[in-house]
Amino acid sequence: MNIQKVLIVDDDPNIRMIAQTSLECLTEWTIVMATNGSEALVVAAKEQPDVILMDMRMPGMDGLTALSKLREQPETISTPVIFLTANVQTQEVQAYIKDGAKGVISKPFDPMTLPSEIMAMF
Amino acid sequence: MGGLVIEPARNMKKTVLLLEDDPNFRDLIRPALESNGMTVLEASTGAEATSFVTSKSPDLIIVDGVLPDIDGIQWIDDLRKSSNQTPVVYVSSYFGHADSYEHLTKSFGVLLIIQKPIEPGTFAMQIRSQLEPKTSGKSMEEKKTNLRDTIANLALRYAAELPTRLNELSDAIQEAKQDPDEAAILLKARSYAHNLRGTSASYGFRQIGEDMAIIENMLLDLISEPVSNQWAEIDQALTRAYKSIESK
Repeated sequence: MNIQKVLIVDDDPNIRMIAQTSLECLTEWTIVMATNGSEALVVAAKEQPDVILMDMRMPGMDGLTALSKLREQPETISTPVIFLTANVQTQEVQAYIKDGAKGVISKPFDPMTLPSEIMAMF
Repeated sequence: MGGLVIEPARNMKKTVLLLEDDPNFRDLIRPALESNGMTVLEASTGAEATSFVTSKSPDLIIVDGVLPDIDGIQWIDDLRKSSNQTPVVYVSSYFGHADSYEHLTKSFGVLLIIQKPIEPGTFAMQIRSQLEPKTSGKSMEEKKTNLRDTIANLALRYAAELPTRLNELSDAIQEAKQDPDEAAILLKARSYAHNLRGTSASYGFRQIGEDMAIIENMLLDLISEPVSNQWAEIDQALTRAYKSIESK
């Protein structure tokens, strides 16, 4: 898959900054960002990212709710979603994938390898 | 992050024009931009900014949404109609107007739309990253070196924030000790620990990340089954985290 644009969704500005810096330094991808699930729905519909990298735990709308709503929007019905989460256990990962996630990247992530972790899922 | 050499920003001393009528907001972000190697020109009206664009040719323009003499979007529209393609970042207190968003990015080529309130250090890094040369043409080794330098700079900023973040967590833990049966207070403390866990370790503060994981898990256990000796382990992990930042 040829990734050109990635949407980063996280309420923590530090995490957004690390992920953005990593992807901008190591790839040619265009990065767009949202700070919660509700914003992600708007930005994803307009920007049409190739991949959404989304935190699980966010105030307001959490990652799983946002994923189900993304699947209801025609513009984002099949956009791959990769979750970022600190609680990665095999059963949980399988449950997220069953819910429609492309995969899970554990927090803390290594900014030096984040792009390759994303690409490995395609 | 011992041993990391923080270099002055390379390829910098770029000039940023800040079009913002609120002097408090300008005072808030100017120092952060300057400490990231940028020269800052300040304009409080659209007319003043237009004059600067002609006379100073800034490398990037930060445009506020609401100005006394013109709407920020209209000012950008006028700029583009004058065939000026200077990169623009739009800053507004409002978000969610999808049509305006698309208009700004697609029609006017606005690089970023940033919602107020902003955190000055993070904001300055976002502006700086827009001014840095694109990665195209660099070898992977050069890209990784650039990334290491940038993360090191970000980690230094985060290190300065850590005492405040740990104090917030400590206060929340003390509050939870006073009222351990109140799940909302435990959840607030857990939320602080959770954020510190993910962010500190991603910046390379591994020990703090591990201590925060212990605290988060203990707080979760306390929500389901209060056990008094868990507070002692939480206190120990917090003390270790404080000592860890003192040694940096």
